[in-house]
Amino acid sequence: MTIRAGGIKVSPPLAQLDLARGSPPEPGITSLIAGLANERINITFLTRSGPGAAAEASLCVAETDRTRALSVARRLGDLDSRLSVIAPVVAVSIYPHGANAGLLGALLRTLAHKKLQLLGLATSLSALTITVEASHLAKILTALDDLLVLPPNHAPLRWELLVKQE
Amino acid sequence: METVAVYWEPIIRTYGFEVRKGLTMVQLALHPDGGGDLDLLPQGHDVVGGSLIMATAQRSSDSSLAVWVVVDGVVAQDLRDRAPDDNGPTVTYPVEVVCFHGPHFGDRYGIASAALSVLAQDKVEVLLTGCTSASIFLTVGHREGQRTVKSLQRAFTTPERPKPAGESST
Repeated sequence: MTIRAGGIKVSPPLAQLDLARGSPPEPGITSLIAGLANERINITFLTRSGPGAAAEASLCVAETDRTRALSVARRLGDLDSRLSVIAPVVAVSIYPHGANAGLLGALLRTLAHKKLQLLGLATSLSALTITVEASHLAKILTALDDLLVLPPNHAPLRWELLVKQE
Repeated sequence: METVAVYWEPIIRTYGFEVRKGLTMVQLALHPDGGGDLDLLPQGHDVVGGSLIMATAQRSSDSSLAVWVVVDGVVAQDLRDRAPDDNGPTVTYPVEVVCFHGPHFGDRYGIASAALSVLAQDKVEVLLTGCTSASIFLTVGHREGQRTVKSLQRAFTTPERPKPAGESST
């Protein structure tokens, strides 16, 4: 089975920070992301869930911001002790998802069948984004190539455009 | 190639807020070997009669993946009907989703912080948060959507579209 998609985008190298649930819960993810904002560190990917996941939240920053991000966590009452860091990771976005739950189901089945582990997932208005270890990227792209049919003139996987906020 | 984006906004601009109501949120567990609740998810081409509104996933302590989907229509009804009553997926119905988007949101620091800070200050309970690309998606409880938007409007604004020439502003 194949599904038509418009394109795939692969992010630059990222560091994923998973924040374990704490007791007491504060300082928590709100404090951490406020601290990152104060340090002008962009969060390219963020999920926060209710009970059921080991992590209260997962977020990704540029790998080059990893050390500064951990410094922020350390200053927040040892918040770094609740963080697990995976790096380098990449975010792989499939677009458009077309609000199609079938694409999500097929993607998860395909990756599970090939024993490729996801680290995170989130949808935007148009894209379905997964985070994976960078070392698994080639296998992930091969799996997506089996699942998705892209137009012949689709955009390159890596965009040669870096937006930097001053 | 590098593009430097500079935003001087006293209040962060968005393209507008959208509230979706009457949705179903389902929490699924996917095991590394492919087991778990995977069979509950539809698969394949366009699913007629239902939409995926939002999805997130995070790692669980037992190395499985916790997946949340927020859906509507036939897909939602099907998930509610097929989910086992005990020890299976957690179904929450109804819930509402608030989503908004803005220029370069995924490339700018401080956007997620602005959103989550006001929601925390106003004690809005957010069940699920997903921020990726230029979008922020929030799942909240029944009848909480408008209160969520009101809270977010303390940190974000939606500029009015210019009126077409000749049209009165009143």
